[in-house]
Amino acid sequence: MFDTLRESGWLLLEGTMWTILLSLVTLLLGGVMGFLLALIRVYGVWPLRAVVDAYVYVVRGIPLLLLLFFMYYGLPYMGIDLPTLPGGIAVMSLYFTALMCEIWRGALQSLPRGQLEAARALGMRLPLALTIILVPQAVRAVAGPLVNMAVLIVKSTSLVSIIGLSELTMVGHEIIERTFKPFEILGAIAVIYFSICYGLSRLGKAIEEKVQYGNP
Amino acid sequence: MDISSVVELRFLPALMEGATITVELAAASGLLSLLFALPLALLSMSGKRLLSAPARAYIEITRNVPLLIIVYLAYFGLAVAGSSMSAFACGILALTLQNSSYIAEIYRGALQSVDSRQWEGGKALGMTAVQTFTIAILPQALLKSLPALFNQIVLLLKDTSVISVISVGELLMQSKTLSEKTASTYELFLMVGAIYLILTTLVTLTGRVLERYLSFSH
Repeated sequence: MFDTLRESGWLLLEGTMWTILLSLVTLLLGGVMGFLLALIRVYGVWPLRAVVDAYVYVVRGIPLLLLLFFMYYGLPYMGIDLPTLPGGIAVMSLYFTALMCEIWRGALQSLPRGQLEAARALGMRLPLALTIILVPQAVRAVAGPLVNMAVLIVKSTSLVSIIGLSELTMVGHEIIERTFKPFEILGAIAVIYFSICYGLSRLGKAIEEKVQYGNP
Repeated sequence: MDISSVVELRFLPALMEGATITVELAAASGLLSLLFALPLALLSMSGKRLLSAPARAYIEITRNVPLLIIVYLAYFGLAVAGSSMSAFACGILALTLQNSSYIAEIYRGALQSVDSRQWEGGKALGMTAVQTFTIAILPQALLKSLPALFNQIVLLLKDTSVISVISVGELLMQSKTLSEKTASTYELFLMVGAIYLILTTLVTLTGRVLERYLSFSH
């Protein structure tokens, strides 16, 4: 068992790197776009708001794997042929944008309305009020949930192996096909995912507790 | 792309068959998870390390590993163990293994949020701990957990798509098989997206109605 793992160790490490990279890019792109969409949902004019609402509703109602299939099998028929890596990143980011938009929206809406009114009464415009009053508070509120979202993202990156993108799960699959040792490899992969996700879960919980107690 | 090509009627029978299997997967693993999660939650908060440690370990492990890996492990594992379990049953097993943990955490949160003085109240009325739990604490906790539970069922419904990797003919698998036979691939995926959206919306609406119907203000 240990021989198999020693031989495959570097490959698994490389796969892990891709999983982490893919997760980070998704978290970053999705987090930023989710924030922008949340601003529209909370402070925007209604036609824009309706579009963002519809986007979030649709994405939350369909599986990520369907979107990946759509990108991989469907788009080429429409004349759009995305390479798998940018395509996978695009789909993951767009999907998690919608989920993270919900987190940002909840945080922005949880701030007392009086704060914005007070800022306006002091002569501040919305962008200034957002940057120095509202967003800093929202960041505190979303930090924990965003870290928990990162756990979901790391787990979801395993799905891009199905459309042939090389990350931890895909690498594992290739090793299994070569060595016929499913348990050792799957076990090792499970341990790697668990280490990353459990660490992040604990971090998310710690942040949530700190924010809760620091903000009575 | 005109509307008649988007709604390709010749696909519908196969997609409906797939949707049925998707719903069966979600319903079976949903019900099993709702059942298993309760003892799991109770064990995890029992306060006795001998009981709570294994339950916590189970919950943390299954929550922090991708469903896809659990599906593969169940699939290969059962094959090696010589079990003749079908891929469908294997899918239900994998979904249940993970969702029991998610739901156990929902139960735990709800149970902890019920005012602990009610235990004393039950005792003062001469009720046993079991009576207090089943008559007073549990119903309130279930009611409180209703929104989160329905949210979890929506996630479960979407997660059934992962079971397509072990060739269970659910909605996504059907659409992929069909897409290989025709050139109307993206119309097909649009239809499948619409079907998933209808299913998840139905679950969400059922949750809202049930919540309103069961809430005390009714």
